Amino acid sequence: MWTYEHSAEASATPQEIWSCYQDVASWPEWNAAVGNVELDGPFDTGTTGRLSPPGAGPLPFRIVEATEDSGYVSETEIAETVTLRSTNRLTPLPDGRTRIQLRVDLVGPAAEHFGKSFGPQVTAGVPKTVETLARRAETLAGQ
Amino acid sequence: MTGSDRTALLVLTSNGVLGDTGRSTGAYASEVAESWQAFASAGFRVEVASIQGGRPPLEAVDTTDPAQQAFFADEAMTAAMAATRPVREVDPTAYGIVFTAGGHGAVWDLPYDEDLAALLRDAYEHDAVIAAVCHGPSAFLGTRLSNGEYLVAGRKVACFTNDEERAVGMTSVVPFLLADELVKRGAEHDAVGPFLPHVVVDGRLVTGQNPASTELVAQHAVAVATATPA
Repeated sequence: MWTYEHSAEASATPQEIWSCYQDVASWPEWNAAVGNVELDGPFDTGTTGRLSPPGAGPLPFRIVEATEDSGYVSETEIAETVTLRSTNRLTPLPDGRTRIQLRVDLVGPAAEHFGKSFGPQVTAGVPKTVETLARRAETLAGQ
Repeated sequence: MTGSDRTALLVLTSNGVLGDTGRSTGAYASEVAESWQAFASAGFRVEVASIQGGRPPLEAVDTTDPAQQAFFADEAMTAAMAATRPVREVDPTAYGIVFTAGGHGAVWDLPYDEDLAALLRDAYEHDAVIAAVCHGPSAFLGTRLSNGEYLVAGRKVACFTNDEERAVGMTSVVPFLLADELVKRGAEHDAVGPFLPHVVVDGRLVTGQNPASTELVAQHAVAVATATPA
């Protein structure tokens, strides 16, 4: 399995960051991998939808697991042989800040090959996504 | 084998602009590095040409990749990449293998360059192995043999598939779908699941589906070239 991870700390509560996750219409504003997201239901475990990378067409998208104010796992089917799994975790810190962790995994029979061939393009936006989310949540929290 | 039989030519795109997107592109770095590495490991001398000559643009450079690290550290390749020969100045009889790398940039110049088409025709008709990977087979769209037939007519070929193009979000960016265009020219397109390595050998035509297929293509090109009677 091919994997990449980045985390950042925000002066915002898990609840404030969770609200950013739930507001999928805002994802293009802070998530470098997203041009558009459409959900077929609420931001909850099992909901399906479509995620379009910037400038590209829609890919099948599913929320595998969602725990309010704690995190969620989603899967985007890049192709029948490779899926991108995004694991997003919120950890409250003793000083009142929150650690935002984003891990992306490529899974499927072509995962290692896709990762080797296109990995840098996949990971390039991850740190920016996490940092931008942290700053956005702080702004919304009035920090 | 003669000296020329043990020489491989890498042919790269000179196009660094991804259509109308404003984004950059070029020859796919892993396809350049891994093909060089496989040819060099097999005892081949490697030369580099590009459509326009000079330093060609590269796409998806990954300095953590061992093959690319070795390629960029190699003095001969560093010099070659700084001053690639334009294809119009290449002697088509001087190579045992002519390999066209992909990268999306390739589809904007490889299919239309008459000098490249002549190079591939003449190299093939002088018993060279013609190899290509990913978008590299776009070079064959303009390549006809002396009998007037397309090089790929009646031949099995691999290339970046329509499904792969959709998966990387490029179907509305590229000017054509490569697999479809090769089929229009009489090729029999052979493919496996997206992004899995796949090589097709049809006589002295060796093609691969995607970047992950590069090493296989180069290895099979060497196998065909070294089995060819002197």
